[in-house]
Amino acid sequence: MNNSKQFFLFLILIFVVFTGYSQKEITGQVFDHQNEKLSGATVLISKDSVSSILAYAISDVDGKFKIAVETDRDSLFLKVSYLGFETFKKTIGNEAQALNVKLSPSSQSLKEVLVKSEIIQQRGDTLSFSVAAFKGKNDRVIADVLKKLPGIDIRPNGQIYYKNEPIQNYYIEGLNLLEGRYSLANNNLSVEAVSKVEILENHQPVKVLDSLEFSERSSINIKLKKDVTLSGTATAGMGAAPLLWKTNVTPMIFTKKRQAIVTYQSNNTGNDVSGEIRNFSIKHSGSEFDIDKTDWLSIQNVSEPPFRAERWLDNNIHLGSLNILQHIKEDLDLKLNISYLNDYQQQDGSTQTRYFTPTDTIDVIENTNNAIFVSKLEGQLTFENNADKNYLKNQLEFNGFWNANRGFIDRPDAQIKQQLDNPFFGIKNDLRLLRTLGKQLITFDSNTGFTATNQDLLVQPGQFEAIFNDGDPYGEIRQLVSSKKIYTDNSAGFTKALGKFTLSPKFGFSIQNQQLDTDIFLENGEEVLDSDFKNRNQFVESSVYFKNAVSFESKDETWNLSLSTPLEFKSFRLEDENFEEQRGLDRLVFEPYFYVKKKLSAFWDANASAGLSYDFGKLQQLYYGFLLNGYRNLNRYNAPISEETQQNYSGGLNYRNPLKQLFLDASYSYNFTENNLLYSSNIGENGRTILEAVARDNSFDNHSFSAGGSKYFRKLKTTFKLNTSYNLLKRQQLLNNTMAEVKTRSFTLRGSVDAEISSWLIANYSGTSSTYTSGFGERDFQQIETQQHMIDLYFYPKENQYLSVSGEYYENSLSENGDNYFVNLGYQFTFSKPKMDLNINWQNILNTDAFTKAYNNQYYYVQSSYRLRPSQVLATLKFTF
Amino acid sequence: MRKLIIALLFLSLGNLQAQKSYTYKATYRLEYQEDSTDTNSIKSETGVLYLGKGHSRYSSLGKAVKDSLENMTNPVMMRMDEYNQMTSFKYTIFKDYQENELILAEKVFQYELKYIQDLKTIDWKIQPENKEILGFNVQKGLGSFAGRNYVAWFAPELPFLDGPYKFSGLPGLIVEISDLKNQYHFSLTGFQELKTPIKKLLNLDNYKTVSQEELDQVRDDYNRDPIGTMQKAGVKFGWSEEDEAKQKKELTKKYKERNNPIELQQ
Repeated sequence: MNNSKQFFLFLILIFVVFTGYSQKEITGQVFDHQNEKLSGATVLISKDSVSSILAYAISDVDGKFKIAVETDRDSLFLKVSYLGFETFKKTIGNEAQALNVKLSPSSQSLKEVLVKSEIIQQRGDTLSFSVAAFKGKNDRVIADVLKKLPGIDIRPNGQIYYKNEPIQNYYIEGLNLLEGRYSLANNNLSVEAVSKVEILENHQPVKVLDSLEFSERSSINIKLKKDVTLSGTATAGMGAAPLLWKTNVTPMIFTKKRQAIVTYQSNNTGNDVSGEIRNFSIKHSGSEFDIDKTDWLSIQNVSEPPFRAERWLDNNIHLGSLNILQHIKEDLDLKLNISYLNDYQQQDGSTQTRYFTPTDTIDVIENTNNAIFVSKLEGQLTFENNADKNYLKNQLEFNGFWNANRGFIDRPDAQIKQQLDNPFFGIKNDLRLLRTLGKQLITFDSNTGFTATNQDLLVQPGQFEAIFNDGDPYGEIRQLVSSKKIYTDNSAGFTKALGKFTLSPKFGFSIQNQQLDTDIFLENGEEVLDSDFKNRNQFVESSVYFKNAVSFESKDETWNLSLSTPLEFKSFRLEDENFEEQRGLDRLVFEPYFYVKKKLSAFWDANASAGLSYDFGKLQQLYYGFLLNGYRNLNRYNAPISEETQQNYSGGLNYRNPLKQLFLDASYSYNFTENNLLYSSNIGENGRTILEAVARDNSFDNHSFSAGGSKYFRKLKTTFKLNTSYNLLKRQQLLNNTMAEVKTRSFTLRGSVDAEISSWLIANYSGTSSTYTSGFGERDFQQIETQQHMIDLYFYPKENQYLSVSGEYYENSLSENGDNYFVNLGYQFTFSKPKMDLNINWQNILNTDAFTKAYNNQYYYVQSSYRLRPSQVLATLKFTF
Repeated sequence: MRKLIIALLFLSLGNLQAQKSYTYKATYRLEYQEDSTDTNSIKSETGVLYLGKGHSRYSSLGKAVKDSLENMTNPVMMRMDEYNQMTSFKYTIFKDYQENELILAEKVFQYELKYIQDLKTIDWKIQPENKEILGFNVQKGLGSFAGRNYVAWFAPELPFLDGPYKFSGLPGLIVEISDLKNQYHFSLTGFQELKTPIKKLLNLDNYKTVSQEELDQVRDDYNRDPIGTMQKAGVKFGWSEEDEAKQKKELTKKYKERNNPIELQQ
């Protein structure tokens, strides 16, 4: 036994020695047919031509190889292969040797195999997101899902941005029912009805222009699950105290031929639902004129707090809206959108204003109580034919306002009533026509509009006694304003594709005629006949223009350039019958703008821009006769038409390092403006301001710096962010007939911390600190420091519920009671059957009754206090169908 | 302006690098276990290996399709959701046998990164076992790489020292390779000659060279918190902090399930 073991050991030893001894080294070099060294050739050694490989080598840069072979066989089989050459095969002896191998070229292909073919789908500029994939447990309406999609941003006002640009159209099943008023669908269409959200990048909504005119805008298309969809939202909420209600009933129907959305919404909880019908349409041509409401007169307001309206807005709102689209035939749609809004808001607050003049300081203390009535009807009738060869869109739009405001001001020395009737009417028609003519495209645009307003401000008792009543008190003063506007803007051009570039020059002309009549009446309808207090203005602006733009992107996408070169001849004529005087101005303006962006390296990029622009006087700054704009503001512009030249330069640098999770950016901009008018403020007792414009060349320049950074700490699971900005503005100002250079500096520091403490707790903090300094010349007279700190905690005890706690603090160095504290609590529970959310919200737990803030302007500072909604609890039940 | 554009065009042309051509294409099916604790979390994907003389290029099919669409004369952008659905592996691996180097290039969100490493990191042990796969005579090799032990089957009649992913160095194309736990399993599904050799634009100039550790970290940061990564790069989301917190929680859960990378150690 013992022997056999020894014998076995001996055998192993023998074997090891033997094999060790029998290891042969075969070396060699591989060449091609032209005697060039071949590297990367495989050299294989096997027992014979069919058996498996014993050893292998790969030829090096010099074509050399070296193989150690351990076998007791007499002969070996050598194979040398290289792609594109015939395999060299040879039987060699099992002994150390050096071989030179020469391969000859071969055109023979290698054997092919294919198990199955792969199918690749075709794709375009469409990003399509499955709603199911993005839908969270708490998502009810399509907006909830939309805002989660990468690149999509829904701003607080409801406007949708994609990659920082507003979207162009919001389609539902390819039809544009709501035009720009898409919030109504976005906030009420049930997520259950939607199968996909498509983001149409670089979407050209006009078919004729597709492939001719590159569009940088994106649009959104909502794809529904069913051909015929009946969907919507219903919400009911109650709360206290006072008695609160909230309701929203929004049914909608979508079929292939017809779409309709109807809504009725009402609440007194501070939710401003007018946002549901806010219009975010993007004008294609950028016409300067519009039918937006112009307010000539106003009552004294209190400035609104900087946080969500639900905390301070005392409203009583009703909104109704009807939207119908009829798909008449292929490419032809007719649609009607009508909305009516009625709101009654109350504002309570106090304002303390301190005016600084180079010679004096003047204080005004006002307790304000305002009632605001809003009544607004708006409608739109659209006819659109969007075919492959032709495009026609005609849109008729009207807006009517019957607004009225009542204001009551309590001052230490007086009580003042203000009553304002502020109706407004506007109608416009926009026509756009495109037609292909051979290989070119002819475009034609025509926009025409008309507005009218008769505004009436009554102030009791009468103000500016020294001017209107020889310094004696009197009963009332009434300002009447009648204004009309009519405009037309027409242009024609063509679009032609030239290789990668598309040329689209456009010629056009526009005329706008505005009429302004104002009169002041005193007690018993006594008219102020002095022509200094009347206006009979006619203002005509006309223009002939040629506009063009070029943009460029390098192939490797490191350079982006754009240049626009609009050239315009503008003419202004102002006539005032009252003064029998005429002012006019003719200017040829060239307003170039250049932008460049360069990717410097993997983590760095830089951008710069430069532009020149001109601005000319608007009628709002062109009346000779005094106008009582507010109870203590008497304004006139006794000067020529203002001309302003602006030069803008900016540059920025970005650094984004994902390795260190460090992100930095810095930018600087400079603006230099020259103006031919200066505004002179004469501030009298009680802050009564008389503003006049004086012809005097002046300039102001503004430097802005900003920088920011963020860093993520992997171990702490926490992100820190810090931003800072500095602004320096210098301008000339006439104050109580003294010329002063006003200098303002502001510095802001913002920071935040976001920490994921555990899987059921997330904490966020953010804070802002800013300093604002202003002064005349070298003298600083005012410095305000403000602080703002917020902390939010989110708890997730269970899947179907959450609890949130938030605290806020606002501080202002100017005001004695400038400390404001707020605490809010929120809780939501989701029922699965029927699918419903119960939300309980307790706002303003500390019952802070007023928000105090202070701010200053170049020559005054204001401390205001705004009455907030009291501590209140609101329970809301919401379901979507 | 025109001169400027021309000058810029030349500048951009200067960036073009030498083009390498590929004459053969091998297609692999990859089956992998995403969650190391859950043997049911098996996912599969297609990988494509383009082979040329002395060099190769490997990527997932999704990545290859995206690249080829973007390299056309009229580039087509791939739909993001399709891309995400097609592949979880967004890197491309270039092997160069002359230089004996391997480059892994990957665009993590918008950051173009790459790392370069030595090609020969696997010490293969050839085994005598033979078998036939898809009509090719293959032989067995054993080796270990990045914390896993592998069994590879290579075809000597296909004279490429190549294979899927970073695998290379066997005297014949790797036709099948799997780790011993069978958590990563590549098998050949196709081998074709390209009728017209593909010339791939290989411009990695804009890719920042980092270490493998750094690239893995950036990818991991992105997978852990894609929302945060996008926000830091300036992409804005319009949701409230509550929604954001919820969304982050969901993504964290998904992230935790992806815990079984092919390379366990470097």
